[in-house]
Order: sequence, then structure tokens, then C-alpha cells
Amino acid sequence: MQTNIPAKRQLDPFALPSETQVRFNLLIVAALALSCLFGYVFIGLVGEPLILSPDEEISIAAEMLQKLNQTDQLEAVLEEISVVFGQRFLWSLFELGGICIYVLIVFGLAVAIYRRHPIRVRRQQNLQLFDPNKDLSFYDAIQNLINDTNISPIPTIEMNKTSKINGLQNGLAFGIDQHPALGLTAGVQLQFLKEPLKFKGFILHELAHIFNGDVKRTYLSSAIWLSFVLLGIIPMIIYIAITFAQNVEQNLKLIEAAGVSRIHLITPQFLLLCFQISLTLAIVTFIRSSLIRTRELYADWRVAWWSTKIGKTLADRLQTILERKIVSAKQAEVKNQSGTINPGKNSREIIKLLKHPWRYHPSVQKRWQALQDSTKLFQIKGDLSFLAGVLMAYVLAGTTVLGPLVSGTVSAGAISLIFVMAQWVIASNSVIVLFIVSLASLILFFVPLLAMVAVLFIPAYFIAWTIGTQVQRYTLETMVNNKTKSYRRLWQPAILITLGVFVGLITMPISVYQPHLSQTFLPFLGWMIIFVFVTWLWLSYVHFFTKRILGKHTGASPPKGKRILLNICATILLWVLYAPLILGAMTIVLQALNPSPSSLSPEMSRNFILFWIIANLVLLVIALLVYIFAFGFTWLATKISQSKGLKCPFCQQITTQFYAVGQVCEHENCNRDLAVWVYADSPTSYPKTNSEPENEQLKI
Amino acid sequence: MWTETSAGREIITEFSKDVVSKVANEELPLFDEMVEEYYQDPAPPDLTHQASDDPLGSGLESTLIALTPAAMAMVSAIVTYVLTEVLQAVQEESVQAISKKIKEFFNPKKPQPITKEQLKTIWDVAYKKAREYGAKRDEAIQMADAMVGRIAVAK
Repeated sequence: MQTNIPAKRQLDPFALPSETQVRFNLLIVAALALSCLFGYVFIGLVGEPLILSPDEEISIAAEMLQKLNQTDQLEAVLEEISVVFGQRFLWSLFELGGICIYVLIVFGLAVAIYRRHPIRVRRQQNLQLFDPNKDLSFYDAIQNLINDTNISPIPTIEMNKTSKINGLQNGLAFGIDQHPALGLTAGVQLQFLKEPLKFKGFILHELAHIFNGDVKRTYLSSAIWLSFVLLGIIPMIIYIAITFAQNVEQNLKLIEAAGVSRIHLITPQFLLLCFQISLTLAIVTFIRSSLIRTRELYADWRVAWWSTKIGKTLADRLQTILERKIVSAKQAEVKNQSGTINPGKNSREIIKLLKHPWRYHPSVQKRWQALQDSTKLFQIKGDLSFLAGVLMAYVLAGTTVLGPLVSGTVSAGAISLIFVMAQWVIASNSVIVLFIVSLASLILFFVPLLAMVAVLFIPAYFIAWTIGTQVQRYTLETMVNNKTKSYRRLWQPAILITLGVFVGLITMPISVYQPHLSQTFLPFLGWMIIFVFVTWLWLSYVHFFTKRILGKHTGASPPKGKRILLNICATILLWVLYAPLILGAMTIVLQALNPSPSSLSPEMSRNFILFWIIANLVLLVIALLVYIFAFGFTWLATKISQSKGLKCPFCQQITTQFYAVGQVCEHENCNRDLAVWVYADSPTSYPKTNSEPENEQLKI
Repeated sequence: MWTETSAGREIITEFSKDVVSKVANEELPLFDEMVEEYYQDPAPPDLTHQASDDPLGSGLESTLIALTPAAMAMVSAIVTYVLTEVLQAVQEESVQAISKKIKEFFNPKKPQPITKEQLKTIWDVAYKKAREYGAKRDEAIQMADAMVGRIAVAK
């Protein structure tokens, strides 16, 4: 394998979807999963239990079978059965519809809050449209920067009318869709006069937020968070409080009547639920604040990305702003340390540390380091792995509740339809009708299964996309910097994802899993070890094929289509690998519940559990076999599609090199980057493609 | 007080502009607005400001100290000192009379009967006031020199 490795270069953070987008997707899926779960609880307050117990299911089925066997009035029985299932279908549809409406209300409120944010921001910041005649050179300077960055639509310039020129220099980007805006304090006018290059760096940073799509993500994530708190957390707290009060009241009656108290059972449950609600809120808040924090790093890098096209001046100036801040922060620290002992200092430090995960801006030092070395943005972040695990738990808990509901609703409707069609067969007495009905019944049989698959696939795609994108970034970095032991390093995110799943399961309020973990800790420990291994397998798959698919992509434009294909394959594999684990978790829970349907004998109920365990092991083996098959199939497919070898985008000759990323063309008269798209400081003198970035040619 | 009359403000503004043109020429396009800001709120700027963690903010906020308000405060302080300690102007004197005295005192072509100690005190007042309003050490020295440079000492 030829290795022509150029000197260390800066990777382009925008070659793949940014971490900001990843965290935003994480927030959306978390909010969706939690809204479904909360909606299930709230709708349950209105109607009957949504899912019948195994006892009830078996007894209804047995009753139906008995009627079918014993009666000679077949049509009447068929009609009765179709009506029963029809009613079940309608009721389940009502409850499912109720949950969907609740979710739509939560997200609808979020959208409404988001769309009103320009009005709120203008009111809070006292903004008014800046009159160019007040300071024409200042206005023109901003317009020139806007023109140079080719931002479209052009943002309006608004000024805080109560701010002072001799005051804070600050700004923010906001606005909806086609109406972006820059809100500035009057101090920015002074900065324009006294520190013109820093002024440019500052304005470009704000423009970068608009260009990167941060405005929508920031305000929408804040809106989703607020909507979730107003319509999810607060009602849930009220519901728990009322339930607790009712239980206390019943307990008092119990004491009065029988001298027995259950307060020692009720109170810990109540406290646990409160703790879980608080933790859920903390996790969602953390996702939101981490998103807002991450966007700053990418905005800084967008300025640097623009600057590399015309020289390094502006990137240097942004670094200068950050350097000065670090120096002044360090000076303040030294001054504090050399002064008298401050009794309040320790408590302030503790508060600062506690607030740290929820702060909205990264430290100045971190911003500076990311600007100097973009590989910092290509690591698999520990907190992201952990949050993805928590998200998986939310989706798992939601699926366990909603999956059977969706499947039950669809199957009730399908069964009702089948029995209606069966009446038609009897009435028509036609072979053709029998054939059609049989075919339709066969199709309808698979509809509930397909509904379950759809319920699982969509969140699985988001989860695969979230972690998958991080692994892709990590892979590119290891390729460019020629790092070894890259597979070994995937154990860390695998462990963190698993920990996240565990924490998510036990902290998820009103979850079928969490009350039983104290009784089933050991089985769950075994389950987690398997989960880590399976997750590592999945991460390795993504890593391996990122190298062989994205790592072989040449040219200037990032491999968008290939990435989507890889994500789809990774999603399917994720689902296949985790399906037996999901069933395994349910088995552990069932064990704790000790479900012995009263209609089954003790021997049959023991076999029932044993059946599930064996079934899970078999499914795990099947999943591993499918993994090997999927791995082999994908490997073969990539081998065949890449059989022609790599073509250099500059000299157009075929090279013998195995990878493109991190390599220069082996031909002596060329020696140019094979994968220009990976680097931030690439020249633009190469054959242009249709998907060329538009902001290549800048002039300031 | 004379410094709060329109004549007094006019002279203080004129002297301040002269100082700013020597020390911070780039601020002249915004000079008038900053003078207006100063008169609305003459208090010194908050030099201990730390960047807040506002989710809407940029995280890059900073406070750049303008020298115009510092010059205004410095000139006001010097003029007040000169009036009360050097010229010993009395309140009964007319605004026009005081204005004339001040203009003559700060006219470099007209030597004044002022001692070296008084000149040093004027410089110290100027320097301290400039520093109080956020000027850096070098800038405060330049500003004090520019103002004191307008005073001609009689031999």
C-alpha cells in the first residue's frame, strides 16, 4: 500500500455534518421519545389501560376459539369477533391518536415559541433597525463583510438603542428563515473605529452563526426545551404530587380502618419519581446547553474557513481576541490567589463547577485550542456517547410501551378486517373471493410486524446517524494523522453508550424497566457486558467501512450520498444487533414480574421463561451471524464498486493507493491531495464539480 | 456650577476634543455621541465587567474603553480644580467672566502665574481621573500631558 502522507494539515470541520447538528438531532429524538412516554401516561389518565395483560389476551383468544368450534352459527360468531376487535381497534386508535396529538401539541408549541423569538429578542435587547446615515462607514463595513461571505438572505442590522458606545461590545444573530438579523450593541461602533480587524472577526463570527444554520437550531432547541417543561415536566410533577396525595389519603384511611400503614412504601416511590423527573430535565437541559456551546466552536471555525481563502489575517485576529481573554482571565486568577484568603471563594468555585456542564459557551481556552487544531472537533466526545446511550434507553422504554400499542392497534384493525372478509367469503360462497381474502389476510398478518419495524427504524436511524457521524469524523482523523489502535479506542464510546443506556433505563420516569433493576441487577450486569461487546462490534463496522467508503472518496466535495448509504446500512445493522438485546432486557423484566398467567400451570410458566431465554440466545447468535453476513456483504459490495481504483482529481490518472484520505497522488508530476474535501486549507485550483462550495472566492 | 452651564460644557467639550484628537484620533467620528452619553451618565465605566453566559450572547463580549469620556471627566476635574484652587473664582462672578478666565488660563500663548507644585497637582488630578475612567497608564500620561501642555507657566 502506497503511503504518501503530506505534512500535518488542518481538517475541515465542515467536511461532515457538524457536532451541532448531531446534538440537535439528539435533542429532537429525546424530546420525541419523552413526549410519547409522557403522552402515554397522560392519555392513560383519560381512558382504560391501553395494553391487555397476557392473562386477558389469552382468555379472549380462548373464548373466541371456543365459540368458533362449538357454534353452528358461524357468521354470527364471525360478526361478533369482528365487532370486538373493531372496538379494540377504535379504542386503541383513539389512545394512539391521543398520544400523537399530545406530541404534536408539544412540538407545535415549540414551533410557535420559536417563530415568535424575533419579537422576544427585539424586546429583551431593545433593538431597532440601524439607520445607515448615523454612521455610514460602520454600516458599509458590515455590508461589505456580508457581501464577502455570500450569505443569503442578507441579514438586517439592528442596534440596542439603550446601549452605550462606551460600553459592552456584544452581538447576536437571530431571525426566522428568510429574515435573519444581526443585533449589536453600540459598543461595536467603537470597536470598528479602534480595533477594526477585531471588529471584522467579531462580525464574521456572528455571520458564521447565520451561515452555519445555528440560529434555527439554537432558538428551536430552546423552544423545544421550554415546551417540554411546560407541557411535560410540570404536568408530570403535578400528576405525581396528586397521586402521592391520594395515596397518603388512602393510607390514612387504611390506618384508621385496619391500623396498617404503607407510607414506608409510598414515600420512597414518590421521592424516586421526583428524582427521576429532575434527572430527566437535567439531561434534556444538558443536551440543549451542550448544543449551544458546541456551535461556538464551529462558528469560530467558519470564520477561519472563510479566512483561509484570502489569507490568515482574520483567523489570527479571532485568535487574538481569544488570546487576550485567556491572558486577562489568567491575570485575574493570579490576582485572586495572591490576595487575602476569600472565605466565599471555595463555594464560588463549587458553584462554578456545578454549573459547568450547563454553561452556554465553551471556555476561551477550549475555543482557542479548537481554532489552532481542528482535530479537537474530530474526536468521539464522551458526553455525546453517554447521551446517545441515554437516548437509546428513552427510545427503548418508549418502544416497549408504544410498540405493542401501535402493533396492537394495527393488529386489532387487521384482525377485525380479516373476520369481516371471512363473512364475505361465507356469504359469497366463491373460490375467487376465498383466494382474494386469503391473500389479503396474509398481507394483513405482516402489517403489525411492519408497524413495529417502522416504530423501531426511525429512532434507530437517528441514533445511528448521531454516533455514526462521530465515528466517521474520528475515522477520518485517524486516517489523516496515521493513528494506530483505532479499533481499541472504540471500547471507550462503547462502554459510555452502555452506561448511558443503563442510566437512562433506571432514571426514566414511569418506565417498565426501572422498578425491577434492584431485583435483577446481576442479570442486567451480564446484559450490559453483552451490550458493550455488541456496541463495539457496531462501532467497528462503521469505522471499518468509513475507511473503505469515505476514506476512498476523492475530489473537492464531501461524499454526501456515500455517507447516507453508510448510515442506512449502519441503521439496519444497529436494529438487527440490538433487537435481541431489547428482547433480552424485556426477559429480565418479565422474570422480575414473574408473569405466571393464571391459565398456565407452574411448569408451563417456568418453560415460558426458559423459552424466552433460549429464544433470546438464539436471536443473539442469529444477530451475530447476520452481522458477519452484513460485514461480508458490505465488504464485497465495496470491493466490486471500487475495483477500478482511485482516480486523482488533479492529474486524472488512476493510482495504486488504497486510500485517498490523508494521501497525495503518487504520480511524480502531480503530488496533490487525493481527498481535498477533508482539508480546511485546500486550494481551489482543481476541476470544479456541481456541488462546489459557493463561498470559495472571498475578497476583503 | 459653571461646569454645568452651557458655556462651561462648551469649553470642556472643546478642550476634550483637543485631547482626543491628540491621543485617540480614531474616536473623533463618534465624539459628539460619546459626549452626549457622558452628560447623560458621567459615572466611570464598570471596569470589572466579566463576560456573562447568556445563551443569546456571542461569548466574545468585551468592554473596550473609549478615551472620550475619560477626556471629558479629566477636563472637568482639571477645570474645577483650576477654578476653585488656582483662580479662586467666586460664585458671584458671571458665567462669561469665568469662561474668559478659563480660556485665558488654558491658552498656551498666555503665561500664567502658577507654581510648579500647582502644575504637578493639576497633572496628577488629570492622570488620576483618566485612570479612573479606564485609560491605560500610557494613555493617561498622554492625556494629562496634552491638557497640562495647554498651560504656559510665567517665568
